[in-house]
Amino acid sequence: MLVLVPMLLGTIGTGLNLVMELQTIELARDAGHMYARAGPAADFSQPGYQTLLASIGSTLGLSTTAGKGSAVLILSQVLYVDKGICASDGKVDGSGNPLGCTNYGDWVFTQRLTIGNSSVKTSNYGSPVVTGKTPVTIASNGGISLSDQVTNVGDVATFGVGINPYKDVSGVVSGLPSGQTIFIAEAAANGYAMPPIVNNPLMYSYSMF
Amino acid sequence: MVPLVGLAIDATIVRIAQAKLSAAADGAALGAGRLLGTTANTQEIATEFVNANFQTGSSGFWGVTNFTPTVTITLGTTKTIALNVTATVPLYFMRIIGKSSTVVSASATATRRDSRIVMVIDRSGSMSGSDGAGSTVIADVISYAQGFAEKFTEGADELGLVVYDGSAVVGYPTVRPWDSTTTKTSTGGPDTSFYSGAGADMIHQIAAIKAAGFTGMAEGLWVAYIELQKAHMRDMAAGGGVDDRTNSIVLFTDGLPTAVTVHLNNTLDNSILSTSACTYKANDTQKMIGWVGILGPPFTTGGGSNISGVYGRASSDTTQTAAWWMANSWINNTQGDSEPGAPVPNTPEGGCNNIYSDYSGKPSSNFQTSGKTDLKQVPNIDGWGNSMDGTAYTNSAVYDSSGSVATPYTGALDHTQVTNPSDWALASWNETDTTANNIRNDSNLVNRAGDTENIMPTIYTIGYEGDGGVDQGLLLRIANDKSSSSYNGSQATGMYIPASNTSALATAFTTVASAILRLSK
Amino acid sequence: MYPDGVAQAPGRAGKAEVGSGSVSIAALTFGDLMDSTPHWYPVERKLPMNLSLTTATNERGLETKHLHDSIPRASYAPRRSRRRKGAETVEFALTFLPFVAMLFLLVDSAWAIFAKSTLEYAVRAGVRQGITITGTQATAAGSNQTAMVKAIVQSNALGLLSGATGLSEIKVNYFLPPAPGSNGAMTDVSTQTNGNAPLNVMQVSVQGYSIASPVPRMFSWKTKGDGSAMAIGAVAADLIEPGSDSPPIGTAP
Repeated sequence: MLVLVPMLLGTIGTGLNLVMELQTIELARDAGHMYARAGPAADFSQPGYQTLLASIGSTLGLSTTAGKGSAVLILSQVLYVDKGICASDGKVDGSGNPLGCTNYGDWVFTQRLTIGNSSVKTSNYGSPVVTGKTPVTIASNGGISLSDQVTNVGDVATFGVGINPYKDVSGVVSGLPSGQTIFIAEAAANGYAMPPIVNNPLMYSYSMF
Repeated sequence: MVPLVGLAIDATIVRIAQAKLSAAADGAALGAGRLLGTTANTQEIATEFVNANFQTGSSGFWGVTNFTPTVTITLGTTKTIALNVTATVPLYFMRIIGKSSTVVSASATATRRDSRIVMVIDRSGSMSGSDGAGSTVIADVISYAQGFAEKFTEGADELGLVVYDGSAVVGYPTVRPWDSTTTKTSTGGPDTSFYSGAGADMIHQIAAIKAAGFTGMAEGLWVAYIELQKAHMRDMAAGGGVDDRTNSIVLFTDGLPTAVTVHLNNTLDNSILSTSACTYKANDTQKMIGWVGILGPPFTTGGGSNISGVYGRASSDTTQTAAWWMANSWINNTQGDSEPGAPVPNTPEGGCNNIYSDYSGKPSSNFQTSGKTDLKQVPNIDGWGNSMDGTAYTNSAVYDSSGSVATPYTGALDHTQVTNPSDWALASWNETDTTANNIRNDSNLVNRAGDTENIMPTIYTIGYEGDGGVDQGLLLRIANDKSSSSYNGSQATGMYIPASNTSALATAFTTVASAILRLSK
Repeated sequence: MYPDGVAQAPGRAGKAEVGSGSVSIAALTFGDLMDSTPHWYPVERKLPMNLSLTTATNERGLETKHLHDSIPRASYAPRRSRRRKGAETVEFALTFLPFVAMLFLLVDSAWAIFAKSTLEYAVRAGVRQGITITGTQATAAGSNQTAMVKAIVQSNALGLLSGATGLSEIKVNYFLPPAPGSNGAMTDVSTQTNGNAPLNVMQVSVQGYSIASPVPRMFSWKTKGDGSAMAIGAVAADLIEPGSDSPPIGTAP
């Protein structure tokens, strides 16, 4: 009995949470892959796409209504601001060097979409700052304007060396052609709480494309 | 009992590890695969991508160890990156019966073919209008188009440039006179030196574009198609009969088609009145080819003063350089074209009464009621052999940046209404639609000697809505976008991307570049 | 079992009979206490009966009769109060059903978890491989995309979805994404010939699958064990990879 009861509770609690973890990984992967494939042309803020994501994440409790449900899916596109990006916003001097290009050398968000209940988890990569004196404007399709990307400090992402695959060597990111973005999908869900065996379980998974 | 619990818990843990591994492999394949063909060290980046997606070690993922990615890259026009990742997952319950860990693996492959792309840029008069952000639309498009070209790899990808107002002209490569044949020795066609830094490279040609004139969308597309075929034939000859590249056309426009090419004394579709005074009305050895401009929208019924033509095609000019043509549109072309039976400035074409050749001629008196003495119909076939007949225009759907607007394509096409701009406009809708469909079918394959493979061109269309509106219905059909009213699964599927303002325009160009750069099997 | 020749009512202790013979003592079991069907666990102890009746006079001068046996005490088990006899058995009896119930629940949940995770994995494998199927592969296999995807799901489901029944529970749906700027839902194009166009969504799901419980679930003494099946589903979806070599769609969903 002493063995059996904890074993039973542990199996049920851990087992259910493990299955939810599996689904979280799959949701992050599916959503990330679709996002990276279809890109901004496939607008994940459209209800059609959101319904599809909600059906994949249905067991996790992903809802199409913002603020409801027990899971969240965060889609981000991250871009490295190099000279070419500064130039496309006009923030260079005569010889092409950055001038007034605040975010030069940083990774910034070019798009951010949150589906589901955002209070479940905030992104591990930071979020564009949408409040305060100089907020970043996120359009209804999640897009962030070029000038915000280049000049607004609130748009910088936490994407340092180690968690991102491109080495940053003195302002030049080796390998990634200018203007290309990295697609990140993060999924998080509240698991089954079974105190005292399982307390406040949070499933989290990310995928980078 | 323990093995049963082991089955549930351990099996799920193993599946979790495998799912994560598979996601990591896919992420790396896609993320690194799009760099195939560039100067990036794809092998290293793929490994770093996998590591970024799958943290191992004691603080890592379920205590997984022995994480081993293997990356294999094969090069050629079709480049492949193959990833195989294995890892060891510890088992918790099964170790009671002796099995303490298991190995999981995942693999992913991505391929990228080198691209061949022709950019087709609208430089009609509306493009010199404001973009709402302090600049002109044409200036924005110039800089985005340059950025687009810079995303491709000099020496590996082939790029070319076509610009069109009422008539289309090739901006890169700069070889003139322009060769319209499609044999393996034809000159021109996109090449890999588009970004060489030379004064005549594509980047410089784009920078020289000036805007003025009508919108001859159909000819822009067809000239681009000819360019693709020339490069294809050239590469096939050099590659022992094989050409592996993807073929794409990227069309940018900010308005509706307002020009058509015509071949007035085409034996298959003669449009000259038998009572006309035109010398070549029945003699096709002197082809009466040119283009006609339509003023509008709105396209009026009655009002021949709103139809201009017939003008010489820029592509058949032998006098000016490609650089000149970038900076000058039809308005500056006082030379006429050099085709037989070609109009001479200020003189009615080859004996005709009311068909003039240049802007400084008499556009206001062309095609008026009295002008009906030359033409008997709005032609059924355009100057390049594509049909202008039918009711395709009923699929029109015009959108500006605030949403849907009333379509100017009303009524039914009546070819006898020679002086109605509205009927010419309906014909030009049909012309653009049919041209695009023929391109996607590679209809000219039969005329390419020694070629048996369909080049499957993919068309991407970008529509800038801020200049009065673009026809989304038409652009979806041109691209064979999945949402198109005529979607055809046996042709290549393209994309239509609308842009309502200048920053959406920047994103649109980036999106198309990514779509082409991203993998294609 | 009853003492020889003596009819016994169940549930009673055996009567000892004076004289020779053997005595069978029937012990009570929990079954007797709990339900109407008796379960006897007789403990037969044949003793040489050597009983004698003695008469004695107590302190008040009355005659009392005592029944004695002559077997030495040592051969008996240590005596305890009758009330505490079988206490262990009773305790075991009381906890046995919850124990078994929990055991069965453990088995059931372990199995359910295993089945759920297997199905999730199987649909994912189906989508992952299904989106990259080319026309050449379909021709070589003499099959079409939907059939190949279903076969992949079946082979990854570790036998849970075998046979024609299992095949009918796998659904492959194709969706056309909404047009840019539209707020419409995804259109189900599974029955159209070009439903599997590149960049359409392929959704693989298991619907209507129910797992039979390996052991019945017991909730109380009075009700029968519940062996009814549990319904489990799984869904995975992804975009079909772009390419020019599309396979035939087959019959979907």
